Amino acid sequence: MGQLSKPRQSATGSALIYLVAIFLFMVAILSINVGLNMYFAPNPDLTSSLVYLSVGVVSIGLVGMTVLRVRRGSSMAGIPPKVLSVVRCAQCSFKQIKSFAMGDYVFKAEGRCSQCGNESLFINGIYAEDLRKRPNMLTG
Amino acid sequence: MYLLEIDRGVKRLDIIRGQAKDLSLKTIKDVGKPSFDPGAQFNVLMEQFLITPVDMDPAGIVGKFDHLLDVRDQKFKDDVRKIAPSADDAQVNNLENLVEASWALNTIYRIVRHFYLLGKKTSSFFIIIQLQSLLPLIMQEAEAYLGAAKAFAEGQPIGDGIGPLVASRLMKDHDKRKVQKDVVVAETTLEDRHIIALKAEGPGGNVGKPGDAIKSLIEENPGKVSMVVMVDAAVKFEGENSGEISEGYGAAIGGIGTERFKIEETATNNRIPVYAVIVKESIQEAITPMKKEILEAGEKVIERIKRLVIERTKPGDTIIVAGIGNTIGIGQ
Repeated sequence: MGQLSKPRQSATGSALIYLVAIFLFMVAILSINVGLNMYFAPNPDLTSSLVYLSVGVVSIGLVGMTVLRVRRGSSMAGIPPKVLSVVRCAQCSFKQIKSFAMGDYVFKAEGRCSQCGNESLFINGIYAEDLRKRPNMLTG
Repeated sequence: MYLLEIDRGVKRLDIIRGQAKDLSLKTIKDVGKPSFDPGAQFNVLMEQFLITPVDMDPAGIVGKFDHLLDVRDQKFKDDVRKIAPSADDAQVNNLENLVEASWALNTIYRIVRHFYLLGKKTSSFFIIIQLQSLLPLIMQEAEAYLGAAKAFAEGQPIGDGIGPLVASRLMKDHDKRKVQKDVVVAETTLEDRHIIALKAEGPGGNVGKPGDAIKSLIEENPGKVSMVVMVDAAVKFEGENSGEISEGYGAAIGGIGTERFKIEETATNNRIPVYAVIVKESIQEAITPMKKEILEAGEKVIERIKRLVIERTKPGDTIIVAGIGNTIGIGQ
């Protein structure tokens, strides 16, 4: 089941999008170049140069948005959560957190308490720990 | 560019639905131990559909819907039991939820592929652009269903289970009895009031029929019930924190509306106020394993119920507290 939580990324799809983005970026640079040349020419054609410059700027914007989206999409692809069971004793203050095991459920009896010796251990809660929210070891 | 993006999305959806199907079949084989290959029957389940009743004359439509859903639930459960003969009742419920998650992913894939191919076939820029703009939300939902499938396969509590969790905390160490379809009830006291707590029977994946249960409890205690409090998970707005609690009025219960109708009708006929305490979470959080902040909200909900009970009722009054939601991974 390990492979379940992270669907395979379509590498060819990403590569193709990057290729189209690079092509569009080159078109945008070319367009801006033409636009600037027209603007600074001895007899400037103001309208055409503005059209070329606008096409260039809009293209760069679109390329930027697409690249950002592809990157965000791949970075968000599911990090599987770690599921934990909280075991508590009904008689004393004993509490233990363990990895969830198949068959665990809330209020399942877990047997004898190692602290007080009573048959009063039970699962008090089960929760998923979001691994993306773990504190950064460098920044705390 | 848009077509490329959608094509990539459709391929990814295909992979996700394939993974959910593989997981479902693996779990059915592991838990249900069928003596035959369940693949063919599983594929039949994947293509099931429900024809909703005619609503041109809406009188009596709730009863029709209720009947239709009962038939569908029973048939689905029987079909799952057939392909998983060794599974016990709780496991059958979990497998049913798992198959439903796979069904949802299969349906999402089929719909997205339909509009993608239709957009390409008709060269309709507007179909393509609509699909492209919705795709991030669709992908998010699909990923959430995949997480749900894993939770259902392993029997882990999901975010939607916060209602049953609160009810089970109130029920703990008290005698339980079964009322109506898959609903358990226990009687307890809270701040000198008589509390009747109810939830779907766990720990198998189950939502029960709380509408019928509340109706029968009110009929069992004629004129005695002074308040109904419903606890449920509710979808938060972006920017709100998961696990935040809100109070409101009315029947807090999702679904197609049949259970809500029964609760509203019974409460109105008996002039009983219905209060709602909800725990906010995203749609994704509601169907994936329960997060810590949602689990921790359970204790705060009990405090809210206590406050509500003190403010709105007198000592000795009878109050129904209904924990609404899927009780997978939550016993009683």
